[in-house]
Amino acid sequence: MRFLRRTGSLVGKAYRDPKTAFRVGKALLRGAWYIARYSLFSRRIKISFPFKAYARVTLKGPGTISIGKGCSVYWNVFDGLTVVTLADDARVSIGERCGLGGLTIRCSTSVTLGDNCLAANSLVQDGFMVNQNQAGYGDRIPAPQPIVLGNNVWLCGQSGVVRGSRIGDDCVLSRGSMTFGSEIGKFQLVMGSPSGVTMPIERLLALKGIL
Amino acid sequence: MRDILARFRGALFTALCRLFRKNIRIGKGLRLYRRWRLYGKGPIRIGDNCRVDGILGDTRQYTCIDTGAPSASVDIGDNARLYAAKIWSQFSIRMGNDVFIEESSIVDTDFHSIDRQRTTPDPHETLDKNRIVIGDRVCIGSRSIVTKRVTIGDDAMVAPGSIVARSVPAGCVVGGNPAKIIEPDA
Repeated sequence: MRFLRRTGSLVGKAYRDPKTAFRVGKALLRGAWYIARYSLFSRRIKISFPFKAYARVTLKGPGTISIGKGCSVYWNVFDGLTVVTLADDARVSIGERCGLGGLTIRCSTSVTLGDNCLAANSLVQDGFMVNQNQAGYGDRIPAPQPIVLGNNVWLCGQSGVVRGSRIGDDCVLSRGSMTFGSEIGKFQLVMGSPSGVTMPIERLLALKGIL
Repeated sequence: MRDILARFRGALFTALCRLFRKNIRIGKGLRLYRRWRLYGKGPIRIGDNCRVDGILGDTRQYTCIDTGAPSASVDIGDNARLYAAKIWSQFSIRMGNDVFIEESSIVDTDFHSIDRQRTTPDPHETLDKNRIVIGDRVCIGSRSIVTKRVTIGDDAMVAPGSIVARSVPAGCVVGGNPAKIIEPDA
């Protein structure tokens, strides 16, 4: 028993903190259930193992959805992960080891998230309207454009990425910021709605000792 | 099959309104794909061929059209498409034909005054000040808010997640908080 207490292995961790271990095990089981369910009933949805589901996961629509290894869905203000594809050729791909909680993706062309992304209660939508084809306005509503998010992007709560935005690696979208079709470089802090101001995080980190 | 059910539900709702709720007047061809809530005693008028639906993948949100006072009115034109729209009227909300509203809230009051007593209703709010007018063929994106005293012109478009605090001219795309013109539409 003393040996178990000292080791940094999974068994030792579980022995030291059984509550968390139980929660993680439950999430893994729930994730496995989601994997089994979606691989049985829809061929276009692929979730890789291990997938930790602490909250509800809703994947809907005719398009293809792929979720990488080691993603986890946490409980947030609204539900867990919601991915809706609105067209047959819609593609949503989420990278490896993402922490997703409360994220809503509505896609009719393509949405790509990189690896190690963090998302809170936020919205990723690649068209102006969700039910655009039912509007009957023809070309008046701008057509949806694909969205690309880089690796290690952090989407804070209530932030949104809309129609044709491209966001580079290591970016942070601050709380409540919305981007409408803008291109943002690497390692930037995105602020405001509509986001016009971006600030390189390197400069902010340099100021950290002074402020 | 879904369309037939929606039409049947709509016809049933219209008939029941004609019998029991005289303040609600709904035109022909209502389609109810999801539930909705019509609350209050104020006059609610909805034109022909209205479509009421929810957002795909979100089971909890539904369309609400509420009137807070017997004098409050909601007036929606023909061919309206309401996808989980939330409308609260204390004074007057008027919409044109062919509006397209998704998962956003349109409220023409602050509900309470800003003094310490929080009196309700606010005595400074009047019909002329707080009226919301929305033109023809207006699209309002999801998670956006339209506040009091706002007039949205014809053919305007509100991007998702924006808060419309000032009036919007006709035929342009607005977005952000407060909503600014993103691109003037051609």
